[in-house]
Amino acid sequence: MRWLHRLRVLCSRWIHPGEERRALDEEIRFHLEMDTRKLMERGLSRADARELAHIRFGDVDRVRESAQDMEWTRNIEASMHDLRYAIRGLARTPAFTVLALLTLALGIGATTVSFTLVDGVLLRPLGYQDPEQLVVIEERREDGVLLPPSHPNFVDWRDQARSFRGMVSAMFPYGHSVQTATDVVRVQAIGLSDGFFRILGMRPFLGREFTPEESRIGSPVTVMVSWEFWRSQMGEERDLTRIALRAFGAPVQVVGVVPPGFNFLGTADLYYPHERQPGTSRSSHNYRVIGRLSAGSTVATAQVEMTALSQRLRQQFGDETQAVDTRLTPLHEYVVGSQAHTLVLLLGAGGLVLLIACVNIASSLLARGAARRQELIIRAVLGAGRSRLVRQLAVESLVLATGGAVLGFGLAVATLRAVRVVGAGMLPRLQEVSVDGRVLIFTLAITVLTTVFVGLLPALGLRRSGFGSLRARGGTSGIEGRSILWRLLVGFEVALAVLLLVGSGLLVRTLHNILSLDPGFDPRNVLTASVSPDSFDATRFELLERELATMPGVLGAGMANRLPLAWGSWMGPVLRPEDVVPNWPAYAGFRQASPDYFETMRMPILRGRPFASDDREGAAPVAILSQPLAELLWPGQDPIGKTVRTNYLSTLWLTVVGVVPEARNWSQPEGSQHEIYTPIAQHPAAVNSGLYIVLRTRSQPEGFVPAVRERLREVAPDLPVVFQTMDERLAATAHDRRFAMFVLLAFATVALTLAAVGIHSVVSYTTAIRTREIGVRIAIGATPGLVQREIVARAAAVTLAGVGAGVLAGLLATRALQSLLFQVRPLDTFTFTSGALVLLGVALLAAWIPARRFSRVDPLVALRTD
Amino acid sequence: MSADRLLLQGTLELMVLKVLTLGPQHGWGLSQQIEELSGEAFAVNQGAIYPALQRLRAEGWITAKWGTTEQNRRARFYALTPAGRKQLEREIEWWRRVVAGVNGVLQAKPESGR
Repeated sequence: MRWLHRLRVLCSRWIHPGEERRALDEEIRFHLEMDTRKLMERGLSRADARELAHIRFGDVDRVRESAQDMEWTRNIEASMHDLRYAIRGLARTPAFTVLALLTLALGIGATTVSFTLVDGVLLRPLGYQDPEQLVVIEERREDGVLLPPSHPNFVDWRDQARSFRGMVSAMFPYGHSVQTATDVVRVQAIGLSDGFFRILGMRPFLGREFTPEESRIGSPVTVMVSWEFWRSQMGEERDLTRIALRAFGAPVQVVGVVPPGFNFLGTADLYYPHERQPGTSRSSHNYRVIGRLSAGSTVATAQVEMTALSQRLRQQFGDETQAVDTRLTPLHEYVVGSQAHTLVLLLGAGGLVLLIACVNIASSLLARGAARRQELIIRAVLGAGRSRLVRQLAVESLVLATGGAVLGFGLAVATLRAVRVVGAGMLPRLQEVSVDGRVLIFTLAITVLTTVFVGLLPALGLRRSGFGSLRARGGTSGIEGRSILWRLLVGFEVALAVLLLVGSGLLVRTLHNILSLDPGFDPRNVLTASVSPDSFDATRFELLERELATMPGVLGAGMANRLPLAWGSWMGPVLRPEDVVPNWPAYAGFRQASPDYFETMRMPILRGRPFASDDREGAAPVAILSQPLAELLWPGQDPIGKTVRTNYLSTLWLTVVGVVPEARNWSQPEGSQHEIYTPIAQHPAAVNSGLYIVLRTRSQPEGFVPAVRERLREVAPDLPVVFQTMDERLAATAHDRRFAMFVLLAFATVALTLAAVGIHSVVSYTTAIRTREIGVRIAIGATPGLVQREIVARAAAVTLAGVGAGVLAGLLATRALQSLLFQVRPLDTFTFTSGALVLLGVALLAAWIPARRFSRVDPLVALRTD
Repeated sequence: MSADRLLLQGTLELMVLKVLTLGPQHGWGLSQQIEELSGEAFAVNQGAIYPALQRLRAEGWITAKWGTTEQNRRARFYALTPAGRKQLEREIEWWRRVVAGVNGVLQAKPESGR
């Protein structure tokens, strides 16, 4: 604890430089006064007593001076001197200093970025009141599959469960057109249940939330809007009653603005009370349900109650509800759970990069220390104590680390800004991520760690070598012992780089597999336009489809209510004539498509025929099934001519006329996509939540956006539209992998570069100090090639050992990646081999460059060095 | 710093540490106690105690804290730390050796002549 005390005294001197002097003055004054008084008590006059006290005390100025001159002031002076000395020394070797600073900036920057993301997304609590009380409730089907709840089940839970202070639900967002005073815009709309904001513990930014009356069945619709929408479309009008807005086919009253950044259920601009038109089917899984636990309830106790409640409801309603149980998930886990893995991985990778950076700097400092032996000897001879020299090295690494930290922090801030733009949609809560005090403290902490790590090794080296050996010849003594340390450092560095290379390699392969998976249709050169008319007029849209199909460069056009890979959207039970309600044999996505849709998407008709233009209202109702659905309903039989029913068109028996392949997303297992297609013109009334027009283009579909937009404006000026290419839609499903891959790849590149730089500088240095020896060997006949081979072979031995260690570590560590991989095994031989080979190649190149230089050395020059 | 001054400073620090084992004390009080206990042998240059106190404090052997005296005056009180107590033991040991050494020299008798 003594050092702690000394540190405190020293710090107080730093912080209040004048205070100690004043304190001493006061002490001296007090002393003289007390002594004067004592002498007066002995009978002296005041003047005499004063004089005598002064004599007894001695020269005040000298006492003051020598007290000031005591140990710690000297310490401070010495550290100031060390600081100046370190800065001067670093300035003298700008190449080394710049390289070291950049290396540290990369390491500290990478770690800071990873920490900021992990902290912002994983560690920081959600912005709701007492978020730990909030749980997400899902239905569990008999086969274990989790489903979003249905409205009637939600109402029963809310009414009957005792473990909750409140329960709310939100409908999944869907596209909707609204008309402002000046414009028609397409927005995402989300229905909220009564008391949504109150129970989450949030207040509207402006106005109020919906009243229970507004949530009552049949009451006139009121809406809340997002803060962003209020700003961009409503001119920040604070008097909400003055806002003119049409939505849901009628003028609506805006009653409130939701808080900025509210994006809990995905971003939306329009919110409405969905209970005024409640869902009635227990098998329509369109809601997310959040409960707030009451005091005294835990997730576990609430789970017990909810399980019992689900079983009761199941008994009461039988197969009408699929929920045999429920699952409760803490909200935080629900929001970020899937990403936790990626982020922890990120933090690990960032840490590895920092470690490599430290190793690099430590080894360069070591080399520098050796090069400066001569200088250190002179200083030692001139009387600098060993501890002073060690401190000198420590100050130097502190200066480096601080500089690196400042640069790294700047780098991190810039990177995070870029990540927020590039990574939008890849990570939840990304917009909440910011650099703040916690991040700053983290950066400081790793800077201290870096200083210790970086400074310690060279200091230890100095300690051990001792000044006895220093006093010998200036040059190479002790280098041999030290080169073992170097080899260890370089080997370690190589191992870490291999680890990162292998990790990112696995993710690159995963992404490749994901993107090259056959989705059952051809997503290339397909432009999708999402529109949501207030009502669907088949004739008008068929005309529109033809208009677009005849545009130059457009090969074909089609329409559908949902695009492929809309897993979970518009799902409902289907049944065969022999099935008895509610024993649903299957559960399929309800799709409506135009005749040309399959051709446009290049979905081959496996059996039967596509829809025809006379499959319309009034004609016999028909359907096309996805192959897995057909196989499920009639295993091994020809489904053509069979009849089937879906709850979306519950009064009609549909005749199966065709079978198409399943449109499959990599994230869903093969054979899981059950879809039933009906002709879009046959049931126009069922098209009630928007539709998509798809265009197959001759070339890059992005280029067609302006022309298509122009044509749409001519024929349907009231129709807002959102464009996206099919490739973009597909890629979006692999965002988290892409993000992890992108980050790991960036880190691996940095690591590889650092390792190469490290090997290069160590080989350069260790060879430089052997210049004499090399000169001698060349003088007695060694060829440059031989010398080169020998130098490179030494480096190769170290690299090989490092690669071996890295591969071993990779065998263990890549298991952690397992859940992120797709069709790649964690122990993928190809990835491991190529990672090792890349590293070996780069390392040999890094060693060969200095080797070449030194093998060309002129023996005469070499012998004169040193 | 010459050898005799080093010796003197050493003994002064030793005495300060020893006196502080009796309890916290301010600079003037320390100088008075040392004066009394030493039979006024150390009456010279009371001021020398302040540099010594600063050094002991910098070493972490004593702490300083402002307080009030019995006469209700503000003064800086010094107290011994555990490290100071250990240092005192070492100092006493050192002092014993010095005394023994000096005594050895003083007890030297003239050698018999050749």
